[in-house]
Amino acid sequence: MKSLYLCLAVLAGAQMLEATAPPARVDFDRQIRPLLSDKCFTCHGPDDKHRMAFLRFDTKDGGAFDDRGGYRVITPGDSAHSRMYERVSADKPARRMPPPYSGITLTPEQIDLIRRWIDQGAKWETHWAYIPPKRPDTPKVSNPSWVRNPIDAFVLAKLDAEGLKPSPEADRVTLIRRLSFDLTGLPPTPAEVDAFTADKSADAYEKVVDRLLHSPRYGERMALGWLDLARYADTHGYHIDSHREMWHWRDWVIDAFNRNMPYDRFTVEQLAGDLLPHPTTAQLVATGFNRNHMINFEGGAIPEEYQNEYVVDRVEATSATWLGLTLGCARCHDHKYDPISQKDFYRFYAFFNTIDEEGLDGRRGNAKPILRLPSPEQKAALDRIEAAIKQHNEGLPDKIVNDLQAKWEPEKLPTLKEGPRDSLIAWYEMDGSLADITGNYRHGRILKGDPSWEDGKAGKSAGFDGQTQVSFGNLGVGGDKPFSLSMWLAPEGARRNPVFTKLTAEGRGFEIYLDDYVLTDIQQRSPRVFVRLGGKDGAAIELGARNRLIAGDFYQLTINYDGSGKAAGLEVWIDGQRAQADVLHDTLSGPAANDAPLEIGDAQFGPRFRGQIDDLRLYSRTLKAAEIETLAKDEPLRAVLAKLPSNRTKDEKSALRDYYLSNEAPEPYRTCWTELKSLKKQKDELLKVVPTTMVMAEMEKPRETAILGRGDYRNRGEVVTPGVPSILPQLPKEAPANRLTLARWLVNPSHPLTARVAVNRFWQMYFGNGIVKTPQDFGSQGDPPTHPELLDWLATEFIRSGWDVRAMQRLIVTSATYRQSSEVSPALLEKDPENRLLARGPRFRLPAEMVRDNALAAAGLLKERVGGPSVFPYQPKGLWEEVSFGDGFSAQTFVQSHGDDLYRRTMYTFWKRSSPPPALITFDAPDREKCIARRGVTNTPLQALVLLNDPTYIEAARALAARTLREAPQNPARRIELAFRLATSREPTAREVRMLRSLEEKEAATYRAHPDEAAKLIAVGESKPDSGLKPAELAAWTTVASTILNLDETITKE
Amino acid sequence: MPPDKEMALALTRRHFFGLTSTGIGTAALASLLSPSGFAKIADASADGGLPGLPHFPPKAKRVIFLHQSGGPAQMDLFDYKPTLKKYHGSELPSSVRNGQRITGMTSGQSSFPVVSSIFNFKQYGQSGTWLSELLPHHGKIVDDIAIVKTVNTDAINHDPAITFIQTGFMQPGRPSMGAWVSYGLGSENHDLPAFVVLIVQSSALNTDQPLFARLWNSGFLPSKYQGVNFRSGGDPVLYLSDPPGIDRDTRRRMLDTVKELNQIRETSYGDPEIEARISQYEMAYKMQTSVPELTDLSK
Repeated sequence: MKSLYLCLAVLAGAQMLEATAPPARVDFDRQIRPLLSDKCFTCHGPDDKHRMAFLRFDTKDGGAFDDRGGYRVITPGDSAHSRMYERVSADKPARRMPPPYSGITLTPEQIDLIRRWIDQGAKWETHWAYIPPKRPDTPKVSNPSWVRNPIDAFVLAKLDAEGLKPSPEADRVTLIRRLSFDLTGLPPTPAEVDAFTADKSADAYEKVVDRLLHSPRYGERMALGWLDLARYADTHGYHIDSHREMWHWRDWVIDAFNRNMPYDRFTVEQLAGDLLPHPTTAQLVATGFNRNHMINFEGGAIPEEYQNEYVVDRVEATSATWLGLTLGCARCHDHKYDPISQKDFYRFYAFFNTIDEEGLDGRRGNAKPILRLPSPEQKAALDRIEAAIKQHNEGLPDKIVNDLQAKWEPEKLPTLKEGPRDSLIAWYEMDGSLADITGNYRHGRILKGDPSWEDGKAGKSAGFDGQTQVSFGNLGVGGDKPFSLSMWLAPEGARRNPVFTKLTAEGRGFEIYLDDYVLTDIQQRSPRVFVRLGGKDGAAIELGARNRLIAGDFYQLTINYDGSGKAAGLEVWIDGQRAQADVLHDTLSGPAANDAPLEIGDAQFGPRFRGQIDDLRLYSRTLKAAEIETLAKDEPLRAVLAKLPSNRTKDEKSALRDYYLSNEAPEPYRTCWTELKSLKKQKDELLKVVPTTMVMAEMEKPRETAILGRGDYRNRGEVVTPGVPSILPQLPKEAPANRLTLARWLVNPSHPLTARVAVNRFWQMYFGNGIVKTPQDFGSQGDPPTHPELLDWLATEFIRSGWDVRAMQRLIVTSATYRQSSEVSPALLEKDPENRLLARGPRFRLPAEMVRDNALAAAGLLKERVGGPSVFPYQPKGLWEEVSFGDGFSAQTFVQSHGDDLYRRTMYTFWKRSSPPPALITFDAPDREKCIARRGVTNTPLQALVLLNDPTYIEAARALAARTLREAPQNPARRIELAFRLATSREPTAREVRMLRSLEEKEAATYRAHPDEAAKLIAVGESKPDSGLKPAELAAWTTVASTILNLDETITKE
Repeated sequence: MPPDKEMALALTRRHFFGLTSTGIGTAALASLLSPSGFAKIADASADGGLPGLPHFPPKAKRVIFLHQSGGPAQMDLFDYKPTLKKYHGSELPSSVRNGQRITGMTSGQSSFPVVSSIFNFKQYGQSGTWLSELLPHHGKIVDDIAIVKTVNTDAINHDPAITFIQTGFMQPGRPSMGAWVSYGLGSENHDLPAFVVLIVQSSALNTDQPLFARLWNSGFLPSKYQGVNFRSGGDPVLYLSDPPGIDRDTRRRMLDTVKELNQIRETSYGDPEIEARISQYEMAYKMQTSVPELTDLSK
C-alpha cells in the first residue's frame, strides 16, 4: 500500500521527498514559497496590474503582516488569528481562497502546511537563489570511508536522512564506458577497456579520467550542451531559412573547452569580447553566442518588429544560460512569479539593443555585423589588392576627373546616334505605362496584376513579380516574316521562365524564355536566353545563347529573324554583340505565324515572368550590327546625358562615369580606371570566398531603449537605461552600463546565480537531472534543489578554483557518488524512481549525437576531425525540398556529402532549422530555434525505426560485421564477443552469445539460399563492403551487428 | 503541468504498473488516472495523455486540420462582405483600419482603397449561408459544416501568421496545436502515431510559401508529441521500411533477439526504461504493417 500512497502524493503535486519523510519544521523557501507562487501569485504576486486587495505574497512587506484594521493576514505563531489560514480552510466557497472561479485548489495537506508554517512563526526568507551561496561545512555521515570527496558527504548525509545506502561501485567496464561518454562523447576502445581493467594501480581510475579530460574530444563533448543553449544552427530559421555560417563560433567553443578557458573568461568573451581592450579575432568570434538567434528577411516584414525579436531572444538566452531565470516572462508584463518587473526586463534588454544590425537581413548568408576571417594567404592578397586600389584611386583625383568629364559630356551628346526609327512597329519606353510612343496607338494592356515601375535602364522599367500578365496584341512580329525585337532585360528567379510568348495552345509561334539555371556560387543562379519559333507538330527552330545572365542586371537583348525558316536566320544579340548560340532544333516546317497576342506572363506556357523589361522596340525588319550597337551603347548613354546632372540617379551617374573613364577619358586616367575595375573585381571575388562569422559590435549612436507595452515594438513607453534586475546585486556605479560591465558583473564571485547555474548544468550532464531539476529556472517556479548545501558547496568551489571548468568535471566524476552502479532494486526504484537522491549511479539513454557516434565508432567508420564547416550525412530524400522556397536561395536543396564527411562526429551535421536532421530530432535533439538548457529523454517507436532502418545504422552494422570478421579469430563465439564489445564495451555472457549465435546461424542459412538479398543488404551506404568477405556470411553477420546496435544497452549510459 | 513534471509522472506511472500490477490499488489508481478505461492505461506502450482529460464526454474521434498556406482569402470564399461593394474604391477609413500595420510590400502606397471581392456570392442550404461562386460544391453540404468567422490576427507576414495559427504565437518556440492535443489527450491507437502531418508541395523547387518543422513540432514539450510526417514518396513514415535485403522473417528474428537480450538486461538492471523500449520496438514493428495499410489509398 505504501507505493500507492507515494504515487498519489506525486500526482497531487506535493514534493515526493517531503511525503516520504516529512521534516518536523516547515521550510519556507522549499515548501511555502512554491505553494504561494503556484496558488496565490496570480492575484497576490509581483505583477502590479493584476494584484488584488493590495496584498502580495512575493515579498515580506506585501501587506500580509500588517494590521489591516483589526485583522492580520498572517499573525506569526497564531494560525487561528491569521486571515490567510481562515480563508484557505473556509468551507463556504464564497469565503474560500483561492476562489473557486480561479480553478486553483489546495489539498488538505497543503492547507495544513500553511497552518503549521504560521504556527511555527511564519518565518519569511528571501528566495534561496537570490542569496549568494555560502560555503557550507561538509556534513557528518554514517560511513566516512565511502566519502571520496566532499560531494559524497553531502549526498550520503541526505541518504542517511532518508534511511538509504549508496550502491556499490560499478564494475570497471561500466565505469570506463560511462566516463568515456560523459567526458568525450565516444565509447572506449576494447584496448582501453582492457588496459583499465588490468591496471592494478591505486590511481587507475584517475589516470583514465585525466586522459579523457585532455583528449581533444573533451571540448567537442562539452560543447554539445552549450550549442543547445546558444541555439546554434546553420540556417536563419525564419521563412525562407537560408544558410548562415557560424561554425567559427562553434569551433571557438570547442577550443575554449579544450584549452580549459576559465568560465569567467568564457562568459566575458562570449557576451562582450568586442568591448574588451584591443580584442583578438578569437574574442570577436566568441561574441557570436548572441548572434545565433534566428534572423528574418521575409519580404514585407517590418524591420523594427524583428530587430526587437532578436534582442528579446538575446535576453532570453543570456538570462537562461547565466542567470537561470526566465526573464522573458517579463517581456509583456511584470513577472507573475518572480520579482522581476517589466522595467527590469527592458533595462536588461537595453544591453543588447545597441548592435549595429538590421531588422531584416541575411538574404545572402550572414547578417551584419559580420567579421571576415581570411586565411593568412587571403589576408595578404586582400592587403595587396587594397593597397593597389588606394594607389589607383589616388591616380584618379575627383577634381580633375570631374572637370574632364564635365567638359566631355556636352561634346559627346550630339555625337550619339539614335536607334533606328524606320520599320518601327511599336515602341514602349516603359516609363510608368505600357504606352506605345510611335503614334501607332498599339498600347499594351494589363491582363492581370500590375507591373511595378522601378528604376530602369532609361527612366523607369516595368517590373514583373510572377503574378502579372500584360498583352501587346498581335503586332505581326514573331511569325514567318523578317522581324526584330529589342529590349533591356533584367532576369530574376531561378527556373524556366518565359519572357515573351506569342503562342497558340499547341505551341505554334514565337517565344523567348530563360532556362538552364546554374548555381554560380552558393546564392546566384544564372540563366541563359532561349528563343523558339515553332511550326506545326512541334517542328521548330530553337536556339540557346551561351551567355549566362546574372539575376538583377540589365542586358540589351535583340532578337533578329530573317524569315528564312532556318536556324541560321535567327540571331540572339546581347549587349550589342552577336551571342554564340547552341542550335537545339532546326526543323521548322509550316507557318509559325498566328493570331495570338504577344504577351508577358501568360500562365498557360509556364510560370509568369519575373524580372524587369525596359525600352521594348519591335521592327518589321532585321536590325544591322551597327544599329544594334547603337541601341546597346549609345541609347543608354544618351538617356543619361540628356538629363540634368542633378536629375540623374546614383546608378546612372556611376554608369556614366564608368563609360567615360573606360572609353573616352585621356590617358593615364583610362588605363588607371581599367586597372582599378579589375582590382575591385578581384577583391569581390576574393571576399566571396573569405569565410565570415556574425559578431556583436556596438552602433556608433546606440538605439534608445523604451519599455514596450505588452512587448509590442510599437508601444514605446518610458525610456530606460541598461541595468540588471533590482532583486539582484547592482552594477558597480563607476563602470559604464554596457555588455562588458554586465558580463563582469555576472562572474563577480559574489553573484548569487552564475556559479550555481553553471555547476547545476554540469551535474545534469552526468546524472540526468540537475540538483535543481529546472536548469533554466532557479526562480520560484523552478524546482527547489534536492541538495541545496551541495549546490552551494560546488558553486563556491567553482569560484574558489578560479572557475576551472575541467577541475569541476574531474571533481564530479571522481566522486564515489558518480562511481556507483546504476543497477536498481524494485524497492529503491519505488522510493526514488528518478534517482534524485543518488543512491545509485546514473542510467539514461545517450543524447542523439552519441547514439550515432557510438555506432560509427564501433563500426570503425568514424572520421574524426575537430571543427570546420558543417557536413551533410545521409538523410531521406525530399525533406528540405518539401518545406523550401526554391527560388535562388541557399540551403533549399539538400546535397548530401560524400567520403569522410559522411562519417564525421554528429555534432558537425548541418542544422537546418525548418527541417532539422530527422534522426537526431527523433532522439530528442532540439530544433535550435530557442535556447534550451535541458533535453527531454523520450522512448518512442520512431527511435526503433531509426536504429533498425536508417542507412546510417545499416551501413554501420555491415562495417561492424566486416570488422568483426576481419579482426576476430575464425570462431563464431569470438566474433560475437568482439562485435558485442565494440558496441557495448563489455563481454557478452555465454547465454547472450548463444542467442546471437542462433540468430547468425539462421540468417547465414537464409542468405546462402538468397544471395541476391545478401548482396542488397551489404550494398547499403557509400562505403564499399570488404570484397574479401563472402556476401552471405557478411550479410548474416550484418544482421547480428544490427541486432547488437539496437540493444537498449548500446544506446544507454549505464 | 510543466513537461518536466509530466515526464516524472509518466515514469512513475510506468514503473508503478510495471512492478506492482496486482491488487485493488492498481485498478483504483488506473481509473483515477483515466476515466476512459483501465486497459488502455495499463498498457505501458499506450500514451494515455493527461489524467482528467478530456474533462467532458468526447464526441470527436479525430481532427483533420487542413492548413491551406497560400489559399484564397476568406472574403473570396465564405466571408460575405456586401458593404465592401458599396465602399469599393473609397479610401479605407482609419476607424476601420484601427492602426493595423501594413506590410513592407504595400506600405509605400499613397492610397489604401477598399476593395470588394470580384466574385459573386449566393445563399445556400437551410441555413442560408453565403458562399462565393468559387465554392459551388460546398453549397450542397453547407448545412453540415461550421464556419468560424471570428478569427482575428495582427500578423501581416507569412511566417508569423502560419506560426501563429499552428502554435498560438507569432514567434517560434511554442508547441504546435497537434502536439498539445496529443500531449493532453494521448491516443487510443496502439499501432499508429497520435499526430500525423501530411505536406503537399507542388514540386521540389517551387515558389509556394515555405513551411517549417515548427508548425508541427513539440516546442518545449517532449519530442514524442511532435507530428509524425506521413510522406507521399518513398516511405510513408521516415525509416519505416526494412532495409533492402532484410525480409519480414529476418526482421522478426532480429527483433526477437533484441527483445530477449533486452529482457536479460532488464532483469539485472531493473530499469523500467528497458521494458518501455521493448514495447516501443513492438510498436515499431506493428507500425511497419499498419502505416502502409493506412496510407494505401487504393484500398
